[in-house]
Amino acid sequence: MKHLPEGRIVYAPLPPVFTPGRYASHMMIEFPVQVLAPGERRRVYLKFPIDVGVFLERSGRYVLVDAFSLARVKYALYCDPGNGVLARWWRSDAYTQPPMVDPDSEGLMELEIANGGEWAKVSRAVFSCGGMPLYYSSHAAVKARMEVKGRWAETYFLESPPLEGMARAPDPGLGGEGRFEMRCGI
Amino acid sequence: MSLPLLQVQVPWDILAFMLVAALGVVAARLVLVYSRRLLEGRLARNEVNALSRALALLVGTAFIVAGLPLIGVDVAGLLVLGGFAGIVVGFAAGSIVSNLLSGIFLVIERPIRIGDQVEVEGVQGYVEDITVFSTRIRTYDGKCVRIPNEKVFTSRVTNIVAYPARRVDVSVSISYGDDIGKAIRVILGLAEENPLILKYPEPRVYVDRLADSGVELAVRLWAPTQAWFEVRTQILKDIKEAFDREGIEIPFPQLVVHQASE
Repeated sequence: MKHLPEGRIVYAPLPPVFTPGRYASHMMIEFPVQVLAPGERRRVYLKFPIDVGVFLERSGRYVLVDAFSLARVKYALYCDPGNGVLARWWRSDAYTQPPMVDPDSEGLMELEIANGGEWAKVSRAVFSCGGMPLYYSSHAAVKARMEVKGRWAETYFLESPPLEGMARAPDPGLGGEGRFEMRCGI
Repeated sequence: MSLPLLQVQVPWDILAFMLVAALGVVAARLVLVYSRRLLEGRLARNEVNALSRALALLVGTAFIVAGLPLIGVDVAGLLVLGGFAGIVVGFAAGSIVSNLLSGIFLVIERPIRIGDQVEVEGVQGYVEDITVFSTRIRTYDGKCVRIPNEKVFTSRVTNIVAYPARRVDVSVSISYGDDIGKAIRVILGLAEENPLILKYPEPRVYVDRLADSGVELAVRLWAPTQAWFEVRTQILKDIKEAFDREGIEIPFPQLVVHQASE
């Protein structure tokens, strides 16, 4: 039983690394192979899992008191066991238009893939969830970018709401790097 | 009337010694600052202070001793005395010095950190503290084991939590009459359902041995290191229950005896 001080209980989307415990700080989304020509930029929409955070709000300040997930929970190791990172794993289709998502368990990612190298095949994106700027209204959403640099890529989230009127989800205080270098395959 | 001419002879040797001594002070100060920075967070605060000061004092003293010949002091005798004292201290306090040096190297190399789960000299548990002389381990059954740093430094140390993922190895037997493919599918299905059994590296299940009483299946799964024990116990329970549901038999040890007819 948690004894909470006075405040308002708020439910808001969380980066998907809080359930069933804190094992990871990254998220890996696999999607159908995207073949990109040299210099090509492509925008795709992906679904990703969200956790639901229960926050206590007082005077505009939030504290995370609990988290749960209504999405399927699965983790994976990106890279080899000696150098890898644990990531919440998810498989999504790659959509050209924003698809419908289950707002209780899924979020919508607008991902821009920029190919700065030769021909590239991309079938997954790994993100560091530190400082992930999640926005929400009827569903959760985030904007992200993947810069392909030959055999590897750099990923990061963008600090802007994907749709007008979306509110920024409270920061659960994950900390850590916001950028991630995918050096073990893209 | 004329003023007496004051002739001042510049004591260059003393100035040179003072310069060396000043350099010694600067070097000692640098050693103090940087050793504190290096050791901070790796040792207790009082040990950081003591060790940094000792190192700074050593460096400062070395500079002063090196400068003594400049003012005509013969350090040969001092060095012989120091060497002799070193031998005596070495014999008398060999293990203490050895533990101290091992402790310093452990702090620099950092094969283990406070909070890690390790196995040292057959002792398994959590590293509670690393001091300059010894390492304290809290065993899984709640005992405190103090291991001299010399042993930690020279023996094989297994850091169980050095990497984010760890493999879970389980062996399961099924009877010769059972469908091997079905048993493998059941186990892989359980692995897929368990959120903490990693998608990658992929789980593997294969026939490991055709044993006396049954077919032995090797199950190789990866889990977050922190959840290794939980995953191992859960998957064993899940396999037993799933095999019961699916009618797959886990055979008891058995021996078929043929009796010669009369």
